[in-house]
Amino acid sequence: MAFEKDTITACATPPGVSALAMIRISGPQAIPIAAKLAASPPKPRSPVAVKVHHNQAILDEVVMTSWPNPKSYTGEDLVEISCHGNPLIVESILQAVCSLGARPARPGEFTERAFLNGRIDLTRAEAILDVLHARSERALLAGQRALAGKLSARLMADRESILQLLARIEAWIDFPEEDIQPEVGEGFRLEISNLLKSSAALLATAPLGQRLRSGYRLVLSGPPNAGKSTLLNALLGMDRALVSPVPGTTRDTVEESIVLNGFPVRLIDTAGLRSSTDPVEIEGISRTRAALESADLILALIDSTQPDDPCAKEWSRYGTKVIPVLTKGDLPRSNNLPGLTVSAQTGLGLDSLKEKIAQHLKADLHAPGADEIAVNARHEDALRRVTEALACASASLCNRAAPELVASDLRLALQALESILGVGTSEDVLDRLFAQFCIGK
Amino acid sequence: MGAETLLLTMNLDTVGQMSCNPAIGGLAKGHIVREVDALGGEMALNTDATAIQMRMLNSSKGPSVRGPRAQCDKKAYQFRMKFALENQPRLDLKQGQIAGLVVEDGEARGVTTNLGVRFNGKRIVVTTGTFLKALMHVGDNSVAGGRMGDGTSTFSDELKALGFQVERLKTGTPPRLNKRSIDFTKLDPQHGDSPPPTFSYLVDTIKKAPEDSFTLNEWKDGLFHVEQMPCWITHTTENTAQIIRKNLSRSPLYCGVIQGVGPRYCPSIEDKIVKFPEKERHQIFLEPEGRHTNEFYVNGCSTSLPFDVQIEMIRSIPGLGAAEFLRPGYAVEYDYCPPTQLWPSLETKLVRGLYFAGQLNGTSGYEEAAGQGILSGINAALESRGAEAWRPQRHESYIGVMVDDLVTKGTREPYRMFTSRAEYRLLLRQDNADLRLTERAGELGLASAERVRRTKEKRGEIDECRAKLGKARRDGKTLEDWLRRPEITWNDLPEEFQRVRGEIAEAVEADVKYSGYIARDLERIATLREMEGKNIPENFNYESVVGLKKEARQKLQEIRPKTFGQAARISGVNPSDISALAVWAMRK
Repeated sequence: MAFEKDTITACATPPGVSALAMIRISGPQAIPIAAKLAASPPKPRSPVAVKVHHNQAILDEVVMTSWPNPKSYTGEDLVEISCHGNPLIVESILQAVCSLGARPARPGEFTERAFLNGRIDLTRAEAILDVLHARSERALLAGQRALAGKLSARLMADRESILQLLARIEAWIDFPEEDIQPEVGEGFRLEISNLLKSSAALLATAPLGQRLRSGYRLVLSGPPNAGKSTLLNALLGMDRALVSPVPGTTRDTVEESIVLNGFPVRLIDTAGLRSSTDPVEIEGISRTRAALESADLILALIDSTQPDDPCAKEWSRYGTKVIPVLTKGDLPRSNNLPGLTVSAQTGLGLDSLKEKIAQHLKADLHAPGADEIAVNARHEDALRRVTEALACASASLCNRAAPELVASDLRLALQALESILGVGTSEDVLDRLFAQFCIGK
Repeated sequence: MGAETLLLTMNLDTVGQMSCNPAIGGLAKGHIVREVDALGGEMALNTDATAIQMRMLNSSKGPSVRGPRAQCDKKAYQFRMKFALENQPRLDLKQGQIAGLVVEDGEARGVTTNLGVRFNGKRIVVTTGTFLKALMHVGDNSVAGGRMGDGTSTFSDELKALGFQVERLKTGTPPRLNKRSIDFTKLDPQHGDSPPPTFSYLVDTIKKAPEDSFTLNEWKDGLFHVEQMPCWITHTTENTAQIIRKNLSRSPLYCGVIQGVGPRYCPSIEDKIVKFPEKERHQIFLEPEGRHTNEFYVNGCSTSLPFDVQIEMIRSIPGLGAAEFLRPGYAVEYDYCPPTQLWPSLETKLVRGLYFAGQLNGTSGYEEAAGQGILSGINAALESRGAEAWRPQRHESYIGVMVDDLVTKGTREPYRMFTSRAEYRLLLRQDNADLRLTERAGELGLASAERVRRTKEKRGEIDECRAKLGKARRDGKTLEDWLRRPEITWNDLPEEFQRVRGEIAEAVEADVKYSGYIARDLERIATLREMEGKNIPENFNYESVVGLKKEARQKLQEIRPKTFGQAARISGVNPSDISALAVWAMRK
């Protein structure tokens, strides 16, 4: 029997916005995965600038370094990807890595592998563990903790259902001589299919979970000098973006996180939309379009002192996620375009704008079942395994496969659920079995 | 294995005596018996030779959850086992009750008997059954003794004085009835399987010697011949339940006399009536105890009610209206040592060279005890010559699962094996115990050369047959792919495969049916393997580890796991604790 270890991945730098973030991949698949992402095999031990591709899209320009085993941090094949420190970029690269065969690492797993392969430097390892603990605390915002509480209540209920099903099927398997009739037929199948629905529904909340985790992407867009940066600063309450009366000052996208009426929001300021010949500005505008595409909500800024809206055509492509905002509301108005009038100078309309943004986000959050949300990528991975295992169990039942195979699938689903909850002992099934059935030949 | 061994017993006449039901095997327990046999043990041969009924349980379910069960002739089993012990080279069999242990510098050096005899030994294995401070209950009548008619031992006081934690358990046994008083016309028979499913991989070596009256069955003309006797099924009635309810106050279980914890899987009849009041009737099996006895065992009716109530209750059951008691049922309480006090080798943490096995470790008797008995014997022999102990893994055997459960989690009720305890159940089939263990046992010097030869030959045949299945095609698919489908069985394969002998076909079919699931299991074993291989020093100081949670620290200090894998299975120890531990273990 040949034993192969699996490949793990995680972001090695703290979450949040930063200049750079580093993603690590460790295990036998690390180098093949990196080669697929970069469309060429990485050079050992020398950093190379490459574009990361996945599903025909360029995710980011990164610096990639590969460390073949055994001379790596973990002692296994290891790849380090330094990308831009935007949580969305990090997330999308991690997802790409996972879709190519890696799985999200458990907390401390890189350190664990480094130790198991005899690669650890003690002082370094301790420092890493400290960061690890610090990170998990910072990552848990109060609001997310509440959500996590609801999620765990829901998962605990699902876990209980699986345990009860296991108790039934195990009673049927282990006690053939007993005068008991555990129900393992149509009702059993129905309960699995209900569980399947439940976990699939939870899995479907993953994108929403990601928005709550990294913040809703609120993009400020409009023609040059419409006052995007000024509005951004007004919403932030501080001078973050460079403001100048020269049109085209913001050539790159600028991001800031705020909590807006209780919602985590990432405010994204963009370069003004206009035709230009300056290569730097052209690049900025193409980034603006990318930001618009991935936005959850767009503030379409219209200069109320101008006679028309040069970007009207642009907005029409994004439908209901556009909120038209008429800026410079403290100056005389020159058009009749619809929209919410604000003035960053006097504060006019800012509260109504925040309220309007919050309403949009609430509509999203109050979708059915959205109060129980898959909070992070680890949950998402585990829920995917739960769903697959339950689907397998259901199929096995329909095919009249042997009951121990159905039980094996249910166990797998249970383990995946318990990996989220951090609970689980084998006695739990027996406790329920003996409570439910009179065993005693 | 070449070790000079002494077996001391309280009573030579009861060596190998079946205190409870004279039945061996069943689900999971049967797997253990097959494993003991694969290692070179005697239990399976003895069972096959003395069985009076043999059945394969769960034959309609998948191959990993089928288990052989045999009803044995109680006396034939015991006498044949005693004879086997007497004829075992390098084994001395002596009667003597242990009074004390000789311990010097924390190491066991020998034992003393109550007659003042001292026996020296490098390694000592203690197997006390239910005899420590044993108390039997029938109603309000309590008598010292581990089995009706036998005595008790205060050896647990000696263990306590050495510093061992000692706790109390309870088990029970039903009445035995006279066959001549049972009305079989009111009962449903349960017959054995034909051909009889056997336990030993060497069953074809069982032959009756001319003077041998204890070997009841034998291999002849390519078949195993067993003259099978039926068991009989009946049920309790509403009247039975009323009699029990009316007399609960006289049950030592319900009036606080019994302190020990009983097994949930083997409750007394009074427990069943109280805990499952909605169940209208409870199934009762009447099982013969042998070919040359009229004693019938009333399976499912363990009780400690007063004798008069037992009679009234039994006579309320159809077919038993005129039943005559040969012996009453009784509960027995006894001392055990919580098994978290042991290393995975079954050596005690407290005294070097001292091993515990069987009911002393809080398990149920027979099969679980046999599994621990052979393991403790192997390790006592290995460690007596300075070799490293053998620690069977959870994915290799039920013995591995059991011992790991015992030493890592402990037990608060008599521990019985269930297939559901084995997370790698699909790998641990009763038919492949030899493939899993015999070659290892050969290396240990335990399994005979003949056993090892047979196992290698079987492995070769299986590989060859599997390869053929993978090559042959039907409608563009390999036969292996065909066979994987739930509705296809071996009989649907072409003629060539019908000539493959049964044992091989059975193994190949199981391997194929499970293949996807087995691959998944192997993957998981691989990810856990490094954890299992990474040792933690025996005297590791958990106090020094920063970042361990309090509960984890306490548990680790108590269990003192041998490997990171074992540490991770302790309840209350989380992955973050393991990471912290991994880093600090290097500081040594």
